[in-house]
Amino acid sequence: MQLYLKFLVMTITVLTLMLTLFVFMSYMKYQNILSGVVSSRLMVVAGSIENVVEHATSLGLKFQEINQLESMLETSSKLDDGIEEIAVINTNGRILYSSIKDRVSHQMEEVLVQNVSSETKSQWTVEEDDYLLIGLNLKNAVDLPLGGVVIKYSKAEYNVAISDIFQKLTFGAFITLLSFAVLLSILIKVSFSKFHRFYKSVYSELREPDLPANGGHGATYLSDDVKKARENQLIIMKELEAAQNRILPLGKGGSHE
Amino acid sequence: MNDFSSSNTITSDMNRRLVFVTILVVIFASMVSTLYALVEINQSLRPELERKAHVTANSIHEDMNRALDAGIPFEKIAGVKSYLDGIVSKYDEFLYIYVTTPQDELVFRGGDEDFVFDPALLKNASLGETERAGQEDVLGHFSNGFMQLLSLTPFFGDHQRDVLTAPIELKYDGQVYGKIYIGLDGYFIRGELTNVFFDILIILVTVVLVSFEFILVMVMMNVSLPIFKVEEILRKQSNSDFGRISHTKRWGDEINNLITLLNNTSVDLQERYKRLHERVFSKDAGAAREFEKLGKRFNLQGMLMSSGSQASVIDARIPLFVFSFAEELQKSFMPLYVDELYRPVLGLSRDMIIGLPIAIFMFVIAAITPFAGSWADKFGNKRLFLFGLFPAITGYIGCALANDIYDVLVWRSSTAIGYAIITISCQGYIAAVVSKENRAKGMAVFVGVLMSATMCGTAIGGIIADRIGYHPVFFISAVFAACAGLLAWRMLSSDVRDEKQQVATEIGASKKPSAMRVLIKNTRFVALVAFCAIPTKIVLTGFFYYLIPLYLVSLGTSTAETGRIMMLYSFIIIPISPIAARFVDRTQKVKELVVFGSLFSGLLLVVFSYYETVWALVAAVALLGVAHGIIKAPLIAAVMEACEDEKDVGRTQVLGILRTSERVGSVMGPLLIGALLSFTSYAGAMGMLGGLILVITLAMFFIFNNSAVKQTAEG
Repeated sequence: MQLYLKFLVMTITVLTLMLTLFVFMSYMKYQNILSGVVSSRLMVVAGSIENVVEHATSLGLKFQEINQLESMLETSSKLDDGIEEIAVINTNGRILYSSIKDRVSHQMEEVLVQNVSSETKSQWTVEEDDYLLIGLNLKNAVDLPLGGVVIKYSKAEYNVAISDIFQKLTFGAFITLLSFAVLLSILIKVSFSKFHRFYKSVYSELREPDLPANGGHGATYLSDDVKKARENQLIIMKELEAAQNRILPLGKGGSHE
Repeated sequence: MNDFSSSNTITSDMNRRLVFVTILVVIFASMVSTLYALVEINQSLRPELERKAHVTANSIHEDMNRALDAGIPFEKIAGVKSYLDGIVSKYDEFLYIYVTTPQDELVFRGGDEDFVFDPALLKNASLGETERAGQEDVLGHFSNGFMQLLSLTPFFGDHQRDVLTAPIELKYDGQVYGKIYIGLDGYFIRGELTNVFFDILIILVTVVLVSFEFILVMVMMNVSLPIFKVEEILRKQSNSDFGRISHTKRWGDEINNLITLLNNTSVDLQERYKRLHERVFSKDAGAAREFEKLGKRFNLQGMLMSSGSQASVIDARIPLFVFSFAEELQKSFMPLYVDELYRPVLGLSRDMIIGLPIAIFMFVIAAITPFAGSWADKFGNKRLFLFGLFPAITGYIGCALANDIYDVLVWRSSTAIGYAIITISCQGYIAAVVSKENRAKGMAVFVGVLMSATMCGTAIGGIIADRIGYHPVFFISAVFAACAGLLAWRMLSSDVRDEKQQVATEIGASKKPSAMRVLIKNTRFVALVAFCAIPTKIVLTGFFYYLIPLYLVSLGTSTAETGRIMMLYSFIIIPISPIAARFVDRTQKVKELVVFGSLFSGLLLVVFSYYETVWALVAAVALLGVAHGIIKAPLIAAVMEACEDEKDVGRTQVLGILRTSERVGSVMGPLLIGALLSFTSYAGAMGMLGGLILVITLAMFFIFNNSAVKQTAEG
């Protein structure tokens, strides 16, 4: 394979790898951004529930006695198509209110309980394979943790957006690769012309040393070495011939070497 | 005459052309992809932001309906303004909220009062949604997205800040009683996209740096090494050596065809000689012995006597890059990872514990480096590199499986041992293969590779960790480290040894004084280490890593902006370092450049301490990159030059002691700045550190001057 082709294949491979890396990194970046945007959107929903709880507790109601919460969770869960469940839990992870009534009194996963009972966090996001879990920790008037609002959001919807952007990025990268591969082939061909001339000169010097000016390709920095090597080669051949004639004269054995 | 004058000119010419062409194409391709990605991300993000506005509007709707439930008429609901103000102030992307009648007459408003209520604009917002639904073809989609993106830049567009969302109707008992409009902040969208743009830009820089390294390997394997081989065979044949080579490629490229052609000549002559020899030997053994003299004269019986390995800096460059890249992958999230595994340790504060793995990592490197230096001289750089992989990879796997902070400490220490061994073996390899005249250039490669790997590794590691979590990134590091080992095994030459240390070994280990004892008596070495290497590290860790983030945040920059400003430093060092090194190699003014770089770094700290603005700090960081770019490689070359006459100390040992001393500076930096900050401001600490560097550099200048005068007098 010609060196030009070899390099063309390699540079196109580099370009492909780079564009793949680019698509991959941009895709990951987009996933991060989107999960941030979705989290902040869900925080709006959680925030309005937090307001109700704060007002109710400041009026002296107990956390478990806020009657309107139940209906509020139900209507709030309809605010965004991806919301699967909105739950209000206490610091032990027990569900006090939920948009899915059957889930009341159930226990939340340990990882969520840890986040809800954390004193340093006020809001948090946990990403699972199929769900995004958004939490907003609730505190009472004296800043003691009461529990939290947890929103379970199905990633099915935002996976559509993510796969859509992935397809678009891949398509863009493919078109870019095709266009720039053509450009690369021209540029590399031009870049290699000087080297190609050099190679032709050396090659013709080695193959056809008797041609005038080395077949018209010009001398190279290796010309002297080529000449000397050629001279040495002729010396060896002469010496081999001489030795053969001396040691094995014609008629005394074998064919002429 | 053909333009090439040696194999080196062919290699450098090919390198230049290929790197230029490939990088150019990669940059343009990445720019096109960046633009495309930004258009798509912008178009995909807008509806998401609008959905947030709609969720907010619906939430307001719910609250309003609760008031209506209580029997309060819509227009009489109290406290709506403060309620809306509260919502707008809570979310940065909202500028204002209008609550209107169904006929778009304003009833309540919240948020920024500077925006004039204009019913005509509300109508446009309502129409916008229906218009958008119609545009779906690919070109139209892209051109609209591109124009939308363009309108966000400061140079184009109408610069209208607010973008109204389509309204949400307020309904009660099936009757529409009003509408809610939310004004999105165009600057917020611009800010988000700017963040995305800079992140993608970092990815672009990473991609270019990686492709640069890749091209270098390609040229080395396909052009440099084969062309050296052609040259070598030709030189041998011109010097009467017609030994054959063991292996030629059957379907090679042009250079390999030349090798085959040359080898075929040897093979042909050897075959003729062999046949003749067999015939002569069968007839007359005495004559055959006489005949063998011809064979010996032209090496017609054996293989080509190679003139030795053609080891080069590039051999170490790629394995070092891949390994450093593996190591840097975790840098961006290490404190967060430690925070996840936090557990109280010996009554230390949480902040101290989070910093503990980094401190221990640094300490182990400082402790191991001097030993690693002498191991390199004893076992060879290649073998040491491969040894170093064991603790490094074990450390990565251990960290991935860590359950608590103690695990992290143990496994990070293990990685630190590997890191110290591998970096010093590579530095030693480079020191051994470069000539005295090219020393600075060789060291610039070392510095440049570490900087490139830092930029690429940190950027990519952060993004990957965000997606797949911290633990898998350590496994990825282990895989990359193993790849580095494979590359080192294939590319590093076992023959490369520091000839100075070989002389020292011949003297005998028992008679040898310790390297430290010898070097402490070397005035120039001590001056360089104490007055340049350590202060440079003090500035790096004290000013750059410790003071700059605090100072920038105090001036109102975000964490992401601070990170980007700090990346400028590495970004500038990568091109400056080889330029400075080339200057040093050409002029041999090593000390002068080191003094100049140090003075420059001191001066810039003093000057910019007077301007307490973000832009002044950006300039300070960029210029510090220039100053350190000037110092880094020449400093290593200057230290090696200062120790050139110390016969008992190998070059890698010198480098080991230099690196350990630098770690001392790294530890001193934050402590010194911390002490200064206890009685002065950020700017004050910056200025004082600059002043200190200036004084120290002047002291170094006088010591060099005196030793030069002494040498002239003695000479």
